[in-house]
Amino acid sequence: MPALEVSHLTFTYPTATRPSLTNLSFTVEAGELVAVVGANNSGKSTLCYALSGVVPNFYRGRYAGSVVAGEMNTTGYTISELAQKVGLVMQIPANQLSGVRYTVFEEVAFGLENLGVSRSEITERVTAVLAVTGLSNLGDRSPYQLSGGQQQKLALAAVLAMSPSILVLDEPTTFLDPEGALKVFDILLELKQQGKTIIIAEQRLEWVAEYADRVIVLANGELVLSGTPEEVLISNIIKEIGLEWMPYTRTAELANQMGLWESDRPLPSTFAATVTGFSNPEG
Amino acid sequence: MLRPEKKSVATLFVSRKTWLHKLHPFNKLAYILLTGVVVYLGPAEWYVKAILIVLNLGLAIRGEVFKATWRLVWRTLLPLAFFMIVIHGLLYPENRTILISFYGVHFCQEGFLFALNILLQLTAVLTASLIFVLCTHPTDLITAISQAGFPQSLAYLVGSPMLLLPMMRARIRTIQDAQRSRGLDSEGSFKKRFLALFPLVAPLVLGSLVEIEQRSIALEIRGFSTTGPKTSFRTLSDTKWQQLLRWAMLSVSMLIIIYRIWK
Repeated sequence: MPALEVSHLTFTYPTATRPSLTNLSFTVEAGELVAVVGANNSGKSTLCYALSGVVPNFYRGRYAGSVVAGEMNTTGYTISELAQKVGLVMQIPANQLSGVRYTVFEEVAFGLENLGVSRSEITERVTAVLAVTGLSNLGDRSPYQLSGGQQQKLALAAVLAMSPSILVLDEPTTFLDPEGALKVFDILLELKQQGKTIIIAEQRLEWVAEYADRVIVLANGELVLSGTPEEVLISNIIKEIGLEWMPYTRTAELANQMGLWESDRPLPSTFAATVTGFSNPEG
Repeated sequence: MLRPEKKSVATLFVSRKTWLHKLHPFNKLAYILLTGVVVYLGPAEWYVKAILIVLNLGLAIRGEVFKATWRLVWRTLLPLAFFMIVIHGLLYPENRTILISFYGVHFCQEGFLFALNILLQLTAVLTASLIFVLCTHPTDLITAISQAGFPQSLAYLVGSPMLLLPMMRARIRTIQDAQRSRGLDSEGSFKKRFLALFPLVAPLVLGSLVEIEQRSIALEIRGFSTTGPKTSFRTLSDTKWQQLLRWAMLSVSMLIIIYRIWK
C-alpha cells in the first residue's frame, strides 16, 4: 500500500477561472523522497496544500478526485487531524511561527501542546528534533532572533515534533544560501533514512538531482513527466516548461555537439556523472 | 530546562526572577482592576491616588523594573500633562481663581488642580499596567487564559499581538528600506516624516492581510483546532494564597463598584 495516493485530483480556487491542478494521479511509496518541479504558477504549492489537506479543508474551491495519506482521505479529516500523518513545511518560515511562543523550544512544543502530549514527552520529543535539525544550542533563543536558514530549520523541527510519517515541503530552500540549502537537504536525507516519506516542491534542480528518488514535473497544473532524476532532468520537457537544464547537463550537451561527449552516453544530471563522463569517455 | 534569555526582543517584558514575575498573571490583572476602581470610583482625595502611585513604584522596584517603568511613565505622560494642564488651566468651566494672567489670558487654579487630579488617576493606572506588562511574560498570560478553561482562540487573540510585535517591526524596517532605496525621503522634518508614512502603511496593511491567511494555515497544521485536551509546557504557579489574594482584590473592586452604584 502506498504512503500517499493521489487519484484524478483537480482543484480550482474559489475566485480562479482555470484549475490550479488538473487530473493529477500518482503514488508515493513509504520511505521515498519525491521532488515536484515546475515553473512558477505550475501548481507546486497547491499540490503541497492538497497533500496536507489544506486544500480543500482551508481553501474550499472546486475539488475533484482524492488524496489518501495512509488510510486517511484528506477530505474526511481536519487539517489538525491530518497534521499527525502529513506534516507541511511552508515556503516562508517566518509565517509558520505560531506567534505565541517565546523561545525556539516552546515554539517546537506548541504543536505537541495542542495534541495534549504530556510535559515529559514534550521535553523528550522537542529535544530530539532540535538535535536532528541542529538547533539544540538555540533552544532558548527567540524564534524572531533566528536567521532565515535557522527559521526554516525551526519550521521543519516544529513539524517533525508532531511525528508525521509523511513530510511535504514547499520550496524550503527559497530563502537559503547554498550552505543553508545543503543543510536542509542533509536533514531530509537523514529523515528519509529513518523511514519518512518526503515530498518536496523545489526549483533548484541540482538538489533534486542529488537527493530525490523520483521527480514529478508539473506544468499549468498538469503532471507532464515523472521518473528518476536521471531520466527527467535531462528531458527536453524541462526546457519546454520554462525551467533550465542544469549547468552540468548544458555543458555536456555542448560537449556532445563538439564531439567531446560520447553521443551514446546519456547527458548527466549530477556533478559526479559529469566528471565521470569527461574523465572516462570510454566507460 | 531551557530558559528564555534575559533581554526580551519581543515585548516590553523584562526577564527577572522576582516574586512579582512569578505572580500569576490574573493577580496582576486583578490589581490593575482594583487600582482603576479605587482611583476612579474610590475616595476622591488626591493622596489616595498618590499613595497608590508610590505603592506601584515600590512594586516596580521590587520587580526590578523601576527604570523601565519610570522611563515609560514620563514618555507617556509628559506630553499629555503639558496639554492637559494648559487646556484645563485656561478653559476649565469652573475656573475662578487666577494664578497667572498674561495679556488677558487667565491660567486658573481650579483647572490646574482638575488636570493634576486626572494626571494622578492616569499615573496610578498606568504604573499598575506597566508592572503587569513588564513583569508578565506574554506566554504566561496565554497559558493562564488556556489553563483557566477559556478557548484557545481567545488566548491567542490576547497574546499574539504582544509577541507578533517584533515581526511587525521587522516588516516596517524592510518596507522602509525598500522605499528609501527607491528615493523616498523619510528623514528630516515632521512634514517629510508624515508624508513618508503613506507609502509605508499600504504595503504594511496589505502584507499583514496576506500573512493572516498563512498564519491561519500554520496554526492548523500545528494542531491548533484539535478538540481533545491540551497540555502546556510552561507551568504557572497558582498557590492558594495567590488565589485568595486574587479573590480579595476582585471582591474589594466589586464592593466599591456596588457602593458607588448604590450611593
